[in-house]
Order: sequence, then C-alpha cells, then structure tokens
Amino acid sequence: MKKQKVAVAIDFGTHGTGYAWALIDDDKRQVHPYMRWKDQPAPTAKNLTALLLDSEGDVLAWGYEARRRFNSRSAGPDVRYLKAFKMSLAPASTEGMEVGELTATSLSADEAKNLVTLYLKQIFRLAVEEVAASGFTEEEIRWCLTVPAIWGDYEKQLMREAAVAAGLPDDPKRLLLAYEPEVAAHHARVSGARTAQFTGKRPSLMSVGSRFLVADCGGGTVDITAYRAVSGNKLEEIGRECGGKFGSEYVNQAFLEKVLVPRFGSYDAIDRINDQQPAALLGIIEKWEEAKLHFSAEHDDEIIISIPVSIDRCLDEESRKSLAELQDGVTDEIVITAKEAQELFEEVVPGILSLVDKQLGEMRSQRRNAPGKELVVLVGGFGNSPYLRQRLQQHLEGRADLLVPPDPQAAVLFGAVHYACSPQIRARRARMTYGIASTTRFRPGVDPEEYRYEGPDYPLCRNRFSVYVRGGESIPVGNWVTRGQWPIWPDQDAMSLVVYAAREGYPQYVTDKGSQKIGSLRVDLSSVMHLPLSRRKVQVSLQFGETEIQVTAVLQESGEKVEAVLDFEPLS
Amino acid sequence: MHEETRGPDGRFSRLEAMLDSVVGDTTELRAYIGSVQAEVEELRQTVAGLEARLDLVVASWTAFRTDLDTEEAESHRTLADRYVNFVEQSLYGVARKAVKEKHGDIPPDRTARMVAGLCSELFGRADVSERRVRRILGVRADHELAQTVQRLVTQARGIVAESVRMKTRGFWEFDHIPGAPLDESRQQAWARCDESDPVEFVVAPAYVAGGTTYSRQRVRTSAS
Repeated sequence: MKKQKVAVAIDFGTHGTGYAWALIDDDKRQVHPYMRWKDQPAPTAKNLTALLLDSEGDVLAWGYEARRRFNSRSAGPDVRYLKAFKMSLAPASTEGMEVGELTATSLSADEAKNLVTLYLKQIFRLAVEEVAASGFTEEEIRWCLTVPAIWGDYEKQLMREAAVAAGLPDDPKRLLLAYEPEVAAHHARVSGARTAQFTGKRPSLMSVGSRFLVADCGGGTVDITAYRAVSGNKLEEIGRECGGKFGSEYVNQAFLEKVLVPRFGSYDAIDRINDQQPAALLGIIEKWEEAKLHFSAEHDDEIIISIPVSIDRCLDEESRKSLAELQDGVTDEIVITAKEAQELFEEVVPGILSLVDKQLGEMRSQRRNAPGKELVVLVGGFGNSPYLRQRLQQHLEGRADLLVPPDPQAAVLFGAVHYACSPQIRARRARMTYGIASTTRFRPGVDPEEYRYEGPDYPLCRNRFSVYVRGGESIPVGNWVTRGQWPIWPDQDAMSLVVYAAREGYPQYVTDKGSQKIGSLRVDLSSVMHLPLSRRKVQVSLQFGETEIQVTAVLQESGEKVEAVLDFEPLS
Repeated sequence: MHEETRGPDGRFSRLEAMLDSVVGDTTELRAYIGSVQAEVEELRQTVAGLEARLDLVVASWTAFRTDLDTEEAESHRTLADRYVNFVEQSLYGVARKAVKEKHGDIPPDRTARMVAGLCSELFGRADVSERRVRRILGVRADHELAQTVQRLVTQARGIVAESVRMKTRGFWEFDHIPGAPLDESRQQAWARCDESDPVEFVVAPAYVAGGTTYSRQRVRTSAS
C-alpha cells in the first residue's frame, strides 16, 4: 500500500456538503477547502446536498446547479429534485420531542444510500482531480467522512458502503469515519476558541484533563458528545452521546408553516406559488435562512424579506388580504417581528438545551459532583446563530462556560482534515452493551425453563448474553476484546455467532427488552473436527473504539483466522 | 588382494573436506547476502530521502497554486455574510423606519437611496461619522433612532476592522456604470428591482478579497 500523503475530508451534511484537504506531513498544515461550486450564489465551503435525477435515476446535476436547473425548469419534465436525504439514512428519531419530518425525506434507507453514493461520486471526482493537480495519485489519499455521533452501527455501515460504491477505498485505514462533534472538538482546540463572553481568558481545552462538551448543531441533527483531553494531544470520549432532530432546517420548516402559510393565506397558496415560481419562493426561504443566522434576541429588530415581483403576480386577493391583515398593511415584504422569530427558534431550542443538560448531568456524575464549571463548545452551522448562543449562555449561567470557535460552521470540515492527518481519539465510550448470544449451564430456579435444553453432559440454557463490553465503558481505540467460544455438540461443524447490542448495562439474555441482534458471523469448524471438543476453541474478538465494530474469529488450535462477514442490522 | 584404507584418515577425511568446502561456501554466501542487504538498505534510505525531497517540492508547489482556496477564504465568506445581513436587515430596517416616519409610507426608491447613502458613508470612507449617518437618515441626536445609529456605526466599524485584519485584505467595491445592464457576475438586483432593467445606482458595494467577490453589489435598477 502506498504511503498516504494527502488527507481529504468530506463533511456530508443534511443541508450542505463540502470537502477540504491538506498535506499530511506539511508542518504548516495548510487546509484547502473547495469553494468554487457551480452556480453557487457566493463562494462557500459547502455545496447544497441536492441532486437532480432524470427518469432513469442518473444524475443530471448536483448541488447548487441542481437547484438552479430544477427551479428554472431547464432540465425538462420527468426529473426528480432531492435534498436532505442524509436524514433518511437514519429514519428512527433518537430523543427529544417529535418535531416532525423535513419535506422530501420520505425515502427508504436503501434509496437514501443510493443517493448518498451518487452525490459522493461527484465529490470524489472533484477532490481527486484537485489533489492530482498537485502531483498526487488517488492511492496516496487518506479519506475521512464525517457522520453524526448519534448514528448507530447500521447507519455507519450504510455510509461506508455508500462511500465505497462512490469510489472511496474499501480499507478502514484509508477511509476513516469520524464523528462530527469529535472532529469539531479538535478544530475548536487548535483554532483558538474563546469564551462567548470574550473575557480574553484562554479556555482550557488544551490542558490535559480538561473536560468539555461539544454541541454540534447542524442543519438536520444536533449531536452532543463529551470529551476529556488526555496526554499526547489526544481526546478520550466520556459521557454518553445523545442528539436529536433539532437542526436549523426545522426552524426553516416552522418559518414555512407559521409565517409564510398564514401570510399567503393557505397551504394551497404556497403550493400554487411553488408551482409557478419555485426559485422565487426558495429565494424567500433562503433570505430567511441568512437573516435567522444573524438574529439576536438583544434587539427588537424585525426581519424583513422582500416579496419578489414574480411572486407578487401570483398572489390572489385572499393572499394580499392575509398579508395586509397580519402586517399592518404591508404587502410587498414579509415582516417578521422579533417575537415571531423567537417563537420559531423555540421550536428547537428547548430540545437542544435539554440534551445539553443531560450530557452535563452525566459529566457531573462522573466527577462525583465535585465543584467546578464544565465547558460547552458550540459548533456547526446553527452554532453561528447569536440567538442560540444567547439562549445557551443564559441557560448555562453559573454551570458552564460557553466556547465558540471563530468559524463554527467550518469546524467539522476543517477538524475532519486534521483528524485524517493524525487521528486523535485515544479512547471512546461504548455506545451500548455488546456481546454474543451464548449457551451456558442451566441454573435451576434462575434461568427460564423455556430456555433449557439437554446438552451432551448436563442441562444447558440458550439465549444467554455473553457481554464483551458494557455500555459507557471506556475502550482504548483499536483494542480487541476477546472471549473463547466452544461448539456444543461433537458433530457440530459450524458455529453461528450472533452479535447483540443492548441498551441496558447488564443484560442477562439476548431476548431482554432493549436487546437486539446487530450482526452475525459464521465460523466453519470443519478443519478442527478431528480434534476433541475441548480443543475446538474459537477466539472471538470484537474490536471497539473505532467508529464501527469489527469482528474476527480465530480457531485457536490452528491459528487459522476464519473469514467472517458481519452485517449490521437496523435497531428498532 | 589389495585392501582399501579405512578410518579417520581415509573416507572420513574426504567427508570432512567436503564439509569444510560447504561451510566455506555458506560463509561466503552469508557475507554476500549481508552486503546485498546493506546495499538494499542504503538504496531504501536514498529512495526515502528522494521521496521526502520530492514531497517538499510538491508541498511548495501546492502552497503556490493559485487555484486553491485557503481557510482564510472561509473567513472572508463569513465576514461577507455578516456584511450582507447588516446591509439588508440592519441598514434597511433603520432606513425603512426613517423613511416611513418622514413620508408616511415606504417608497422603495427613497429607502434604496437612503441605504446607498448609509453604505457609502460606512464602507466608502475611512472617517465614518455618526453625525453624517444621522443626517442621511434625517434624525437628530436626540431622536429615538440615535442609539440605533450608534450601534450601527460600531457594527460597521467592526466589519471593516475585521476585513483589514485578514492576511489578504478585503475591500468594498462601488464601481458601476449607470445605465449599463446588470452584470450578474458582480451585481444583483436590490429588493424588488427588475434585473432586466439597467443599473441606476449601487445600493450596497460588493465585498471583494484576493480577486474573489464574496458578496455582489446590490444595485437599484430602473427602466426610466
């Protein structure tokens, strides 16, 4: 394998996706974001996560170009415009209130995976071309793809499969999956994040032992994770990851439903406008998006958005009447009062604060309620919002300091580049309790009778949960947890190893509530059938600590490593 | 009858000689392999050294490429976003209030001219004056908008100061040709102006840095 000399990171987001790269051995570590997307309104490090497909499902355009062509109808009929499909890779919501689904996200995980592949292919092509212009080959690139921390193993596996199908290498050493808040934490440390109060005091993110929480607030999801800085400039994950669908896209959704619909009179009016002038309607929502990221609760300023003449022509009497009634006679602009704007933010802010509280509680209990303030680092595009920052700051008063890096929107992207250059994470906390379904000696009066069956020598109990790692346990990256497994029957020529995950820390049986099969592998024992049962031991190892779990099985007697395929299955 | 001589000085001495020869050859072979290994190691180090030098050359070339963006470009982008919002919400908001107070309604032309005046003052001069800003808005020092003016001037100064601090300094571009068609590559129509009409005047200048336009000019267009 060629030595990797270039690190390319892809921040794949619900709303926008971008890539950046750097030379791995460059002392100055100059990061190069790509900012020249076709049809972008202004230079930006993120292209729209959007695709325009023809009737065959082939890509006609992507990103801003896809949106332009769709809105201008220049691509013709029978085309599909899709966006926000990242959310459909993980359709099950995690925690928090039910905010409702974003539009255009009712896709199956497989459909979403296909769209992710189509999109990543475009990014891959661009990135390889740009890096090649410096004289590097594709084989010299180490890739890093970001994923939300709240994603389960199944979603991460889907993402990896989509990336490989798009052309990225099928090698865990060359294609890293990194958690978004994790890389953002690293960027915050190196970029000089300061306290939101700007006291001038340097935060202690760099100090060994410093503990901080990262709130990654993006377009779709909000991920909350906690870390501790350990020696060697590395991070150890602490606390338990949590998150939910409280991203800024939901504030946009609320804007559509609670501002535009009442002002234009009805959903039908919106549909009519969207049908006749989709680009102009989108322009209004974008203006809202821009204005909301600068809205502050400190002032009573209204947010004013011009209604384009093209939309004005679509308005009927009812729409004009609604506008005039709700806006003191103003019909050529959308005027949103400060109070209304606050109410839109409050659709998601309480959920975000609740998640932060939960994580802070976990961090506090770990340090046994010793006095002291925690640090909260705010990153992600939504982290740019002064309103969100102010609410968070007020909420954390006396309990934690709030830190914001100079460019929270780019924190994940730039952080991912640095991570790809030198992966920083030393240890992680296990997301759940993991183990293997096994059989043990039956315990009368303890094990359920229905699990009992007669073994060759004594009664046995099936469905026992053989724990490899407990939820919350800190596991060094790359560490293998190994247990021995033996076949039951002398004529058993294969062993089926079924891997389970449980939300509880001490599951007894794989049938316990909250326990679910997440994958399986089959071990062929034919090469050791000539040996007595006691010598047909299989060393089953689960490697934790990386973004995914790897499983291997080794026949101890022969040292033969059995090829095994572990398929993750979605958690219900 | 002739008897062959047997014993240590006979057959075994022949075997010994053969063994000595094999040992000698093996020793020679070992020495040869050792020297080859040493040469290979030397070659490896030479190749590694050449590769490292080549990497330095490539790194230098990459640093000088003019088609690549840097982290600073992202900083210019965020500053441009802040500037645009300042113009389209803060300046427009205060101009709107001032025009409404003076004229009773909000004629688009008047507000556009007022915003243009504000932008010219705040981003077209080194010596920004609160007094001149109040004059543009038509408000006195004791007017309720005076505090807003103070805040806006401070914000504008902050935006300009940040552009100056960048390694590649950003600047505001007002150049335009009245009566010319709107140039989409550097201009966009202000508010509800028709982009097919010719440019009348610049409402808000473009923000440019390093030859890249991070925010296009906002221009008022008019058919007349």
